[in-house]
This record gives sequence, C-alpha cells and structure tokens, in this order.
Amino acid sequence: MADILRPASPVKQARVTIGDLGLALLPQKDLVSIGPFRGQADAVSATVKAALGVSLSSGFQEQDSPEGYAVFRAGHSQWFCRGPEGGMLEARLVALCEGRAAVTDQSDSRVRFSLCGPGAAAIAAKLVPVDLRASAFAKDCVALTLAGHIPVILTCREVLLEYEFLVPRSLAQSLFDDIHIAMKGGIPGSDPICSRADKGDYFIPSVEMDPRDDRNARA
Amino acid sequence: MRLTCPHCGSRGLEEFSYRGDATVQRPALEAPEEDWVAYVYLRDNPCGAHRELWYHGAGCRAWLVVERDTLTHVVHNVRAVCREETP
Amino acid sequence: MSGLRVAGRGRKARRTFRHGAGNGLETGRQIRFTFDGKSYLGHPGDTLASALLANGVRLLGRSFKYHRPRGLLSAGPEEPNALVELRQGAAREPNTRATIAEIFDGLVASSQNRWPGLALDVLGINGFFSPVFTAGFYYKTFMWPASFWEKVYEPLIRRAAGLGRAADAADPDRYEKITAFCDVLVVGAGPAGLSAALAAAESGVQVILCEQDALPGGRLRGERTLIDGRPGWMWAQDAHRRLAGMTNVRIMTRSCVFARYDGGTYGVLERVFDHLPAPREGQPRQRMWRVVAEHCVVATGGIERPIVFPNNDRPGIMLAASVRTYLHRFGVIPGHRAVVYTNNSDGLRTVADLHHAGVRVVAIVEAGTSTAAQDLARQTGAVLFSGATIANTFGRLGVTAAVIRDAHGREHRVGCDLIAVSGGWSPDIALTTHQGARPVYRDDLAAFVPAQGAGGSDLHVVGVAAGVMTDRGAFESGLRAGYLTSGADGSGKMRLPDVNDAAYDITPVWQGPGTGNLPRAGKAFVDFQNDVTARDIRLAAQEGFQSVEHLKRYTTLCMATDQGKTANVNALAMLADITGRSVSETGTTLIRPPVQPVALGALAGAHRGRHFRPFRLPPTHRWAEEQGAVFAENGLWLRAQWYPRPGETHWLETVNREVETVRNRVGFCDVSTLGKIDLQGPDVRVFLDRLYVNGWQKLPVGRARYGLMLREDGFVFDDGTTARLGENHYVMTTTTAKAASVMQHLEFCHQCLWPELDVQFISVTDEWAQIAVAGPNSRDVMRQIVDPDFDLSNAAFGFMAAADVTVCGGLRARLFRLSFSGELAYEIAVPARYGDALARRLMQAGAPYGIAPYGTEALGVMRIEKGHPAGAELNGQTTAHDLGMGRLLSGRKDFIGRRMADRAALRDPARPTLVGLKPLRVDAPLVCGAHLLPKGAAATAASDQGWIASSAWSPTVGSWIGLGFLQNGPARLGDVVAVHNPLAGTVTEAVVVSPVFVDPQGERLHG
Repeated sequence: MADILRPASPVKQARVTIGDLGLALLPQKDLVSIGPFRGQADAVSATVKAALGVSLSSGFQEQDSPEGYAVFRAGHSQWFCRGPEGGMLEARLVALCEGRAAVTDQSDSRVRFSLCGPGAAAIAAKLVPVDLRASAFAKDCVALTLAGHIPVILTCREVLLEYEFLVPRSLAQSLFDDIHIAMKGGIPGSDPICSRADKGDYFIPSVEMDPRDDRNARA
Repeated sequence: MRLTCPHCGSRGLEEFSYRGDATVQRPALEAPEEDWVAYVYLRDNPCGAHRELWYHGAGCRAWLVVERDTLTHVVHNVRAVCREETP
Repeated sequence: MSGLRVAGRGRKARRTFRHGAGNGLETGRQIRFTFDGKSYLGHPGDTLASALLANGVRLLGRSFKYHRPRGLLSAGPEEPNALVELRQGAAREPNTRATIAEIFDGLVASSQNRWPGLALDVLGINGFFSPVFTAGFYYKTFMWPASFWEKVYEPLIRRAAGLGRAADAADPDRYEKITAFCDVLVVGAGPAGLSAALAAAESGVQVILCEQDALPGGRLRGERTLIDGRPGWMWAQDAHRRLAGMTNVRIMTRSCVFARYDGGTYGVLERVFDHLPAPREGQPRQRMWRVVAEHCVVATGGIERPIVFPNNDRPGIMLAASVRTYLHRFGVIPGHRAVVYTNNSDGLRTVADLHHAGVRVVAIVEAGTSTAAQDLARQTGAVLFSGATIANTFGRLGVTAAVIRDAHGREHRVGCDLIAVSGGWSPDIALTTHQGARPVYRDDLAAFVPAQGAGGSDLHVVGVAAGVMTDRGAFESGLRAGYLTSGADGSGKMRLPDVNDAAYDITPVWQGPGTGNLPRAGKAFVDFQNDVTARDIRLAAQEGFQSVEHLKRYTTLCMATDQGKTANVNALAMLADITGRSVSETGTTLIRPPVQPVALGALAGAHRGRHFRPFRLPPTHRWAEEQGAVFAENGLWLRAQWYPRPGETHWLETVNREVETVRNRVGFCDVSTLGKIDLQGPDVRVFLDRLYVNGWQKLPVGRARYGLMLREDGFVFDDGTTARLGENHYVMTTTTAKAASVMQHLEFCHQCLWPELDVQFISVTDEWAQIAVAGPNSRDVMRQIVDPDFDLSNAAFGFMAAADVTVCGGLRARLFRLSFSGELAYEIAVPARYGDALARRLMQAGAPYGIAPYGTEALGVMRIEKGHPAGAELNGQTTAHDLGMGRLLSGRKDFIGRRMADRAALRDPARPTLVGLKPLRVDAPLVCGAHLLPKGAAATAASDQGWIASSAWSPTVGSWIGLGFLQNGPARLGDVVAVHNPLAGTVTEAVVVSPVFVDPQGERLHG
C-alpha cells in the first residue's frame, strides 16, 4: 500500500546523547483513543480486556499485555490504546466496541520520545512539573501534564532512569529541542566544581586554628 | 498555587485555567432577559468562601468545582463538575 | 594606609588586615581579581567584600542620592551599600552585593554610581542640595514646568541618583527552571536548620536543605562558640557531611529560598556558576527551582540592625556581628582601632573577639548599663560609656573619629578606624509573611517575630527567625521541628549538643537622642540604600504620612535591592516615637517575594529568544523549507507565507502569481493547522445544534456544512465546517487561532451545561495532514491522487461533500469538497506522517496542470476576494448580523448566545456591518484600521461610521480591495465614503461594494 508515499520523521534527528543520557525517538505504533459512551465503560473495558489483555483502568497507570498492547489514560473518560504498528488497531477496536465507545485513530497525532539514563528524572523535572519521586511516580505511572509549554503524556518506564514523552506531532521538534537543551544544562548537584560543599567537601583551613579559639567567647 | 485534581492529583496552577463563579446557572431559553443578563454579565466578588470553575486543560481536560477562600487562598475542596464514568 | 598581606620577610612591617586563617577560607591558594581596574589578591572562599577589606579597601561605593562615600555595612545578603558591577561586556551584572559575590581568578569588579571616580565623585555635591532630595522629593520638586520633566529633570536625576548600569548587550548566559518535591524543605543551614534537617532526615522523610551561602554554618562561622567542645563551624561541617551522606537529603548551597507561594510552593534561586568565571558550555548560570514541600522549616536566622546616629554611614562603620564574621570566617581585621556601639548583649561579643584578634578596642558605647560590659572593659582596657550614644563621626572617605556623648551629655572625641554597631537582631521572617500573615512585635526582643501559627500549619519557624536567640534554643527548636515535620515523636531521641550561651538582652534604643531634630548634626541614615534619613522620617510624619505604608512610599524607605532589611524596624520604631504610638500599634509593612533580588533571566528560564514558546510545525514544514518558503508565525504554528521563485523580486509579485495560479490553474496549501475535533455519539447532532447558530438535524452522512459559533453574550466566537462522516460520527474544524479555545468551550458545554448528552470528542488536529487543492484544474489533479475506484465527478462528489477514500494506491484518507478560495477545490487529509510525501506527490501529479504551492498570504488575498470573514472580522466584537450572517441564526432551537444575540441593539442595522470597499483609484492602498467617514465629514469620533478590517491587492480584480464594517452597510452599496488613516493623516475615497468581489454567484466552486 501507498508505495509512493513514504512516512516522514517528525524530527530532524532521531537520537542525541550526552554522556550516559540519551534522548531517542521511539518507533511508531498504532495508537487509538477510546471514549466509552454513557454507561458503557465497564462493558468496553471487559471487551478490550478479553481481546487485548488490557483494561481501561481508572488509575493513571499503564496496563500492558504480553501481546504488546497497552492502555493508559488520555483524559477525562478517555483512554489511549497502543498496539503493534500496522496491526489495524483502530478497525479492531471499532469492531470490538460495536458502537459502545468512540474509537479514533491517533497513531499519527502523537510522537514518542524516550529519555533514558542516570539523572533522567532530573532532566525531566526541568520540563515536567509533576512529582517524579519513586513514591509518587512508579514504573508505568502516567501523567497528563505540560513539558514547559507543551502538553505531554509522561510515562515512567524505570523509576528515576527512564521516561517516555507522548507529544502532539506538530510539537515534537520543539519538545525534542527543549529536552536536548535541558540535557545540556546538566544534572543538578552533579558538577564537582559547583557542589563541593554539598558533598561535604570543604576548604580545610591550611593553618591550624589558634588554640585560644578553644574558649567560648561567652563562657 | 496548587489544586488537587480528582483525577490527576496535586498539580500546579499552570495546568489550569479559571472561569469564575461556579454557582451561576444557565437560564432556560425562555427565561426573562434580566436573568440572561445576570447570567452572562453579573458576578459577585465574595471575600471568603467561593465556589469557582477551573479547567484542567493541560491535564485530563475535566472541569472542576473548586471551593476556595478568596481571602486566605485555602482550597477546601475540588471535585469534577461531571462525575467520570470509569470501569 | 596601604592594606597589604602578612608582613615580615625582612621588609618594613606594614599594617595588615588579614590576621590568620578564616574558617571559610582556603589560605593555601591565592587568586587574583581587579576592582576599579586595580589588581588584588584573595583566597578561595573570600567574598569580594572580605577580599577588598583584607586589602585595606574600605570605600566601595557612592550612595544613591547624595553620592556619599560608602563602605561595607554587613557581611551578608542584607548589604545595602556595597553594590558593585561584576564582569564585563554583555555579562556585566550591576547591583551585585559585594558581601555575597565570591571571588574567582580573573574576576573584574567595579564600583557604581560615581563619576568620574570613587574617591573623587563630583556628584558628592548633591549633599549640598540635600533639601531637594528629602522625603517625597519625587512628588514635590521638578513639577514645573511640566514639559521640563522628560527633557531636563528626569535625565538629570537619572544620572545623579541611581544604581549600576545594565549590560548593553543581551545576557549571554543560560538559565533554567526545575521542579522538585520533598517532604520537608529546610531553609537555612545554621544551627537550627541543620538540626531540623538532621532530625527530619533521620526519620526517613525526604529533605531538601537550602542555604543561600556557599558554606553551611550560618552564624556559627562568625562566632567562637564551642559546640561539644569544638568550634561551632566544625560541628556545622560535621552535621552537613552527615546529611550529605544520606540518600533522602538534597543539600543545595548558594540557593536562596526567595518566596513562599500558596500550596506549599517555594521559589529557590540556585547560583550555579556565579562563583566561577563562566558557566560550563550549555549549563545555566543560575537555576530557578520550584520546590513543592509538605512542610517547611524556616531557619533563616536574623539580621542585625544598625543604630541611627549622625554620619553613621561612613566607611568603617559596620554591623558588630559582621565584624565578627570578617574576623572568624575570613580572617580579616576590619580595622585596628575600634569603637563598639551596642544596645544589646550580643554586640558585646565583638569587643571580646576584636580584642582576641589583637585589635585595640578604644571604647565601648552601650545604650544601657551591664556588668558584662564592665567586665569586658576591664579585660580589654577599653573605655566604657554606659547609657551613652555616638553623637557624630568624622572622616572623609572612611571613619577617623567618633564623638561619644556620655550619660551626662558630655562629648568625647575618640580616634578610631572602625565603629562596630549593633542595634539588635531582627528575626528574618520574610518567608513567613509572603502570604499575608502579620508578624507580632515582641517588646523583650525589640523585634517582630512570626505570629503563632503564622503562614499555616506546614510552616515551622525555628531559631533566631522565631525569636529564639540562643544557640541552645536554636538546636532545640530545630530538632523539635525536624521530628514534627516527619511525623515522628523525637522527644526521646532528642540529644542536644553541648553548648553554653548567655541570654540575649536588649535596651530598645534606635537612635541617638535628638538625631532626627538637629539640622546641624550630620545626616543620620536609616535606610542606607535609599539615603533615607531620620529627618526624612520626621518630615514625612509631620506631613501626615503616618501609616507605615505611606511612610514607605513617600520616603522610598525599604525599597530597591535590599528591601530595607537593615532599615525597616528602625524606621518603624522611629515613626512610633514621633507619633507617640508603640511599635506594635505602628505595625509593619509586609514583605513580598523575592527575599533577595532575582534576575529576570532566571525567572524566564530556558524560555527566551527562539525558545520563548514552542513552535508547531505543519506536516509539510520540511518540504516547504526545501521549497524556499518564507514562514510566518500564526499562533504557535509556523506556516508558509509564500513560496518565492527565482526571479521574483518582491513578495507581492510572488503572492500575485500564487493567486493567479489558483484562480486560473491549480494550487495547494497546507491547512493542517485548522483545529480538527472528532465527535462521536448518539447526541452529537443535538450537541452541534446547541454549539452552532445554524441547524444540524438535516445534514446527511457524507456532507459538510459551514457553522457559526457565538459566545453566550451573543458575539461571534468562531466558525468552521463540520462534516458528517457516519451516522453518529462528525469531524469539526475550527479556525487555527481558536482551536484550543473551542476545545475548552466544547468541554465546558458538555461537562457543565449538558452532561446528559451522550457524546465523546477528542482533538485530531495533529493526526491528519490536510491539504487544500484549489483551482479549475483541481479535479484533474485529484484524479491522479485519489484511487480510481472513487468517483470524483461533480454529480457524485459535489460541493460540500465528504468521504473516506484511499489515495496513492491504498492509503486511507479523507476527502472534502470545501473551498475557502472560491474555486473548485478539495481538502485531502492523510495520516500526518504522509503529509510531506503527499505534498511532493501533488507537485509531481499536478505539474502537467500548472500546479504550485501557495502560502497564507495568497490564501488571505483569496478569502478577501470572496468576502469570507477571518480573524480580523471575527475579532470578538462582531455579531452574526454584523457579518451579514443574521439569517443563519435558527429560531427553532436553543444555542449558545441565542438570547443575548437577540437583543435589539445587537440586531440594529445601524451597527457597522460587513461590506466590500474599493478605492476610487485602484492603486491607492486601503489600510487596515482606517476609519470610514461620510464623504466630506470631519475626522471626528462623532462622524466615525466604521473601519477597514482586512485589505489586499487583488490581482483578480486588478485593484486594492478591502473588507470593512460600515453603519447600514448593505444599504449603501455604491456610496462613496471617506477612508481616514489617522496614522498617516490621509483621507482617500472608496466605493462601498458587495464583500464578494470574485464570482458572486459561486459558480466556480460548484463547477
């Protein structure tokens, strides 16, 4: 199909690294939004669960199945379902939901980036104003939020070490640039020149203190 | 300022936009014009407890009713205008 | 007197100001810096202030109004005097406090607000004109003649009175923002803060400890206090090291918590590279933290106040505790012959410490009478004046003598080069008042302290900040708060370090008697930075400015970079004295963020220049770049404005060619930027009926319709087309500009107004690359794109048709027969990733038909030619009637805005209504914003009848054309009106015509 139309990359560069930190465009997958109609949430969830092994959970936690499907929140009463690329996911879901939910293809509307490596949480925190601590944002947690001025869906892939950004395609290049700049800005507290004292490393007075100092001025 | 979205949890002000008084009710089409004028233009500006509409536009896109004290800025309660149907 | 380093080595012994190792200094290394072009040496750990003092430099700046010589008052961030410029060129930073600027090798610093030089400043003459600079001078003088203000007075004042110079070039440094969350934020790493952090951290909660200084310890670095038998600063380092080893603790030095906001949110400015010559490549000079904390422990300590006496501002007159800081932390002796003037027990420490450092204390001046002072006088050989004041000082560029008035009123002139002054301690309560909590005045401390529970249950004020004035108390209150914030009961575990300190005792004396009265005595400064004197305060009070808020604004007290940290309480107490009220009754102004100055660059973070806001790129962006397109910002979108071709010399030539291409052959344009909302559900039709003014009940599947939305107040909100793709499936388009607002509006209508409607909707703006293909040849081109099994004939796929199709051999797509240009036209949508390839394919397939891309400018020309309203017409002030669309308003249903749109005034035909305009001379440009007047009428508001909203040169009409709003417009076709452009002062004439200039019957788009 479409042999003469070649898909274009949403960004100029698919990957950048700085030290052990990497930012990479992830391969496209099928992405479909599901919005159950009135009173249909349970039925739709059960149907999707039976067919794809993932359900529409009320929490902000991505559900994954061994077959490569995932479901996570896309908004108020809406979910995104992700599946293998070219898997006709939209058509499958339309058939499964049988008019009990709005099913809309979003495969091209969003782009995924992975930010990965030691300090990934600190870099993400320069853009995303949500609590990324392990206690608040564990593996597979999802947050609908802003990265700077850009709306994103953030997923934790590995606590403090790997985050995924799902971003509207038209904003992908801007977000890529913004994350890259944040990576160049360094990991707070990691620069030895700037944080000697923070690590308990002080200038040691080169001359022994005057023994007379061993008196309390007021004693 | 932070609001605790009933869906997304505690979030910063920048994710929300403000609409104002949550207590006004859209009149029926045939209601007197004064009712419509009041609905569209007239707002109280209470000092103290207030119920306000906020939109979590950068999050779940839910409209929220926020009970807030305009004097102390204490947020007493946040709930979604429309109960979400989840499995 | 040349200030030099350690003497000896056979040369003539010279006077030295560095007496040994400071506890914050790396004396093994030397670094070189310059101040006002002169080179000096210092050590790592020195501030610019301590290094200059060590080199015997006492004169650091000139005062704001009177250009009086000023030196260091303090050793910390409260410094009002020693403001300097750091670095050079674009990186030059004015108004930096020398007391917190750490020196580095190669630092270039200079003094400011002096001309031509620091020691000889001709503007020192301002002192003689001081009557004009008194309280309220901004409001009183230079008022006449009015025209003189801008041209004469203001430039004069600006040169004479001021601070440093901003850099002339853009700030070369980077800044960034970051958010952090924690359980407990501890502000300040003195004894109280370190104790609180340790207690909280040991309980397992996550702690962020912020210290604005480069080193922990707070006052412990400036004292000889012993803790557990060792110097206090060693205890602080040990505590700090312990905290640094804990994984649940983040320690941030050089990080000032400058604000507390609602909801436990704090602003923290981290000075990442300020202490080094330049930031590392790509890294920020400063980093703005937003910290969200469950609890906050405020351990900010206190700020020492001066005492107000005549000529109390000479270099060499310093705060007593700051003198101790220079002695102990920096190993610097601020003078060799000292007078110590204090109204409290803490100030007496300076007597002992100076003596211990080998400085001769010639006199102790105490406001009260204490046995401690008598003991000290005996030990040090100083002359003690109890119940005394300093009545005056002498010394042109630095203090050389003090006049002491003893308890009997006798005056004694004493030679000295240092006066250490302590007017008592003010708890640093700024963070506790940011949300409006009023502090309370404690008579026993002669200071404001936070009220019980001030600022909320998550705020815990400890140590001196809470009015706990002893080290023992600091440890105790810090530990208690630390345990409390972590939810643990630490009372059993609490082990207080062994420290022995005396109680704090103060005699509330603010100024020497009569200081504000005696005109002959020198100026007695209350606010050093703004040159506000005791006399100014008296004058303001006499003139009726007796409220603290009025006093502040009238005298400029407590303004500018130091925000009156050392001045506030003295001024209030003096106002209280003058007005016969207590300090409590007088009250205090509240402190607003920021606690310390914050660069605007830091507040902007990474969002500056090209990164001020993100760009949205349409799917064909890269292809358009390759074509050499010129881009324009359209909201966040970057859209191709036109596509110049070789040989075209002017943009208008390009745009004309693009318009002619569409009108005569075929062109295409990326219209993906229009908002697209996918709506599904059994009630979508009802929903659309209520959103749009027109009806949607009869729209069949496979058709699209134009729709107009109002706001509830009856004015036009947005417009667009909505197509019905299936029984319960629609796709709505919005204007590019209003896409997000329409989405919010839909959510509001659904969730807040009509939750009973069963609809679901979601944005698909980014999902589809949508390209308009327009022109008489467009069907031929579409036949090359759309797969052949789809019938594109006018009969099968007429105007306003919509269908799911496949293109280019099986790619799923949506096809709409919509036209903004007025030509036979299509909009073809493919999944966004294929947009780029579709553009290339259109160029190829359309080549035989003369295809060319067109940009937003040609799009705009063609929509004006067709009279389609766009942003300039949908400006939020026009109604459906104004736009000539009154007939769309359905009378058979409720819709947003219906009742308000029905108001008589909004339907008044006399309202300016949409018309077309053509100049009488075709080449006379019509200018947007020009006013329409009756021919021959004077250009007054009374004769104003409308305006021009949009205009363009129309290559199709061969004339300038415009869309405008004119009173009774539709009834005046053929009239000639005057077009008044008040900016150019021109009046031209135009004839009123139908807004549809091209193909008024709409034959082309139906073809």
